[in-house]
Amino acid sequence: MKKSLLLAALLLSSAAQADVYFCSTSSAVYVGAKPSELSGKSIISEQPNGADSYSNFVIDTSKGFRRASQDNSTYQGSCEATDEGVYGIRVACTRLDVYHFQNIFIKEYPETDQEIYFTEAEHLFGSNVSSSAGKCTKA
Amino acid sequence: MKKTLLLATALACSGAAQAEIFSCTSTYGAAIDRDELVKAPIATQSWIVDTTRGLRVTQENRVVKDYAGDCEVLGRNVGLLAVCNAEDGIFTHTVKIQKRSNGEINFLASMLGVYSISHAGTCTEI
Repeated sequence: MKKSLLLAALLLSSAAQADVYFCSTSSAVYVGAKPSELSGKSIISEQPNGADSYSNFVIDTSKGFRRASQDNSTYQGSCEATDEGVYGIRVACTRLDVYHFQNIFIKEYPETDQEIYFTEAEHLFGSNVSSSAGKCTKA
Repeated sequence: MKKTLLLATALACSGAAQAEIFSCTSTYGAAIDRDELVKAPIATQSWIVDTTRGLRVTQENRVVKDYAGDCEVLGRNVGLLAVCNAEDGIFTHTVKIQKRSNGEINFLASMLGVYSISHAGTCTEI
């Protein structure tokens, strides 16, 4: 009985530590090297203020992350939050499979009035990388 | 005893033979932050990719971070596909390198921190 209570307490403690962030993209860039043009030509496009549900992210430090446009059961990857003391909280999320490599970095400053920002990059299968950056709110 | 030594030597040599090392330099890069496109193109950035030791980050012939992090080889069906990660204290570097069956080697890299910086370029095997 005591052990069950201890387990429940541990589970609740773990659940309480999960943080959820809603992150909106305000700038994005796409860089690609076409396989047929490996001499180094690249493409870039800027989408300022291009925030939409596909570009925005929901990060749950206990579940991973997903695009805001995705079903809320489709969390991917894993996240690690690090308390850096006077430098605030740093959250790093990563997802790796043969088709995608994606990571998200969130920085939350210790002062409550400071904004929370994020940067993100996704290496797609093939030859391009898309990245985005913006601001987050904490649930 | 001889057999053990031979086996150990063979295993060591086999491990060493699996290391693949590439020198990668960006030909194009762009940086954004939470508000806007900061700069494009940006200064050249280089990495030495060692599939067994991780990434060495260099900038303007100066080593910013010696071998750190790790690499994961995702495929060898047609050439090589590997992803390497390392942190230098400011940025998290991710380099995806692809060696094609025709010998061409290209890479894409991202650096995440205050900025999100993306690079594309080519590599040579060393």
